[in-house]
Amino acid sequence: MPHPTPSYDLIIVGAGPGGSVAALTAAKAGLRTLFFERGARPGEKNASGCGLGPRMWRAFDFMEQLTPAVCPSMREGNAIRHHLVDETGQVAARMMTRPTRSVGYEPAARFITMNAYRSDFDPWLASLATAAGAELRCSTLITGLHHEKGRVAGVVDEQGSVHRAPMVIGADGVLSTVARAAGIRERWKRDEVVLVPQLDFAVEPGRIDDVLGDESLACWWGVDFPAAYQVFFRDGFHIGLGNWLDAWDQDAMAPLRRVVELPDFQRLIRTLHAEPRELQVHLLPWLTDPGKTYSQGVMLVGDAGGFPCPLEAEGVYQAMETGRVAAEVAAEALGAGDPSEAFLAEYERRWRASSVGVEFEAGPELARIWRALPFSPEQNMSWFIPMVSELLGGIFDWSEPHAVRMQQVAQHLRGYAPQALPFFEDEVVPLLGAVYGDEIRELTSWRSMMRMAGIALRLRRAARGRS
Amino acid sequence: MKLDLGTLNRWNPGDQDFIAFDHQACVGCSACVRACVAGIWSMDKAGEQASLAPDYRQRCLECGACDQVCEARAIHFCYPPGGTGVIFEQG
Repeated sequence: MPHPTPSYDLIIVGAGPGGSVAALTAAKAGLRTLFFERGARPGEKNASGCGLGPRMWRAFDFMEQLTPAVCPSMREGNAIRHHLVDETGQVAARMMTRPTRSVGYEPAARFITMNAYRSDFDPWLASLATAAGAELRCSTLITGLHHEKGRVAGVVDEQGSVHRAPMVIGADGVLSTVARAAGIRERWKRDEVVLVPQLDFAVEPGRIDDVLGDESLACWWGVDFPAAYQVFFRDGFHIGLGNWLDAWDQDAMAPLRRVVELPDFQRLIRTLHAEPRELQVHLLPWLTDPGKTYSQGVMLVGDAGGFPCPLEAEGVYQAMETGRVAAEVAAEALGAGDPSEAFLAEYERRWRASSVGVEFEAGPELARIWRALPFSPEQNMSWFIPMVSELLGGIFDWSEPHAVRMQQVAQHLRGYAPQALPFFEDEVVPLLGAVYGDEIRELTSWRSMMRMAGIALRLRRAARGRS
Repeated sequence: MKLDLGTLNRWNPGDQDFIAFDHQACVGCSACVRACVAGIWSMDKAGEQASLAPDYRQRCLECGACDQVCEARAIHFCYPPGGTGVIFEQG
């Protein structure tokens, strides 16, 4: 006679960062917690997101336990290198940035990101949850929700087995089965998700430090490809780039190949003795607002809820934070015996009040400017890169007296005004307005600035006339 | 440097289908072919319909882009059975 399936207080679908932090939080709150992973182990079906920011350490005490002993690929860095690539494929300008003097959180002055392969990081995070008492089942694909008397009562796996719990957290990634089964989302619109091909290269440990010092990340900004990111680990690096599904009009690998084939990138590969090791490709939600993230008995966290950052689509921290909030709300709903949709509205109130929600307060403006600049290479990077290159490098010409050269640079920069000023008004000012308030819109409008410049000119002429 | 992408990854292929393709519904727009980094979609000889590689279970990178870009809803992607499919070791 088959044994009845034991009941749990909470079932979590997915053992990525969102699912594992939800499981850890729930187990610590005393809930009987079961979480599922479709891979043979957590981390082998990850969606990347491997540059861990200081805010993870700020928000989660357990991050102090992350060491090379449990996560061998981890490597922290304190600099970002920017390569500005022109239409010939040459790096027209290059600069390196570090945390600046305005950084208020001290650890953020010491490292920009701690880079770790998710295939290392996720198993460690899941182990914290199991150590706290949560039960993990791997190699199990959840195919739907189980309902009893019209209410969510658990999940169904690929074998048809039912696992019972009055509440379910969907941490099952961008193509969330839980979201679909709960009626929250059937599929994404094409401008809501990005497709991100990514190549991993193997590098002998220590060589990245020798060649690049404490560089953590690199950005390759191009006039004919969407911006590419490079993340440096202890024994390898990622190079990847993404674009919205409505933007691919060619082979999705073509822009990434273009970056890898750049002469400067090839030189870096040779210098590091790097070898291609793995190809990954991920869909990531990239939204201006996550929208609906709960229904009766169900909450969505991480990518499943559409939480990646509206500026750069980073999603690991967002998954962990929403995982924690969802588990806390689940514990309260169970305590109140009320997993209704009305009760779970508390989940949205809390994530909106968290740093994840604060990020979305300027979500439309952040997403818009990003889309308009690095993801509109032909439209905007085609003037932006030459303009910045002129600003950075124009003065370094010893064929003319420096004052003459400065006049030439200024004259040339004026030529970018027809593109740069409308861009400033259309994209930058709305962002400044969202962040600083409405007054800034008027102050920074280019028409207003031109008006002020005109006034200044007239005052100067008037002053000359008097003297 | 030539990138031989097809040989880089490791799979534990299962024996169950996880992509359903409805030939009748396909309108031949080729969006799936362009979106598929793994190269498991191609156009048929006549160039009128998409075609799914028979060995896709050991080549698919499980992004689901083919499903998401198919406006005709001819492609239905669900994940491969637990414990099978691509394994990202440096993801």
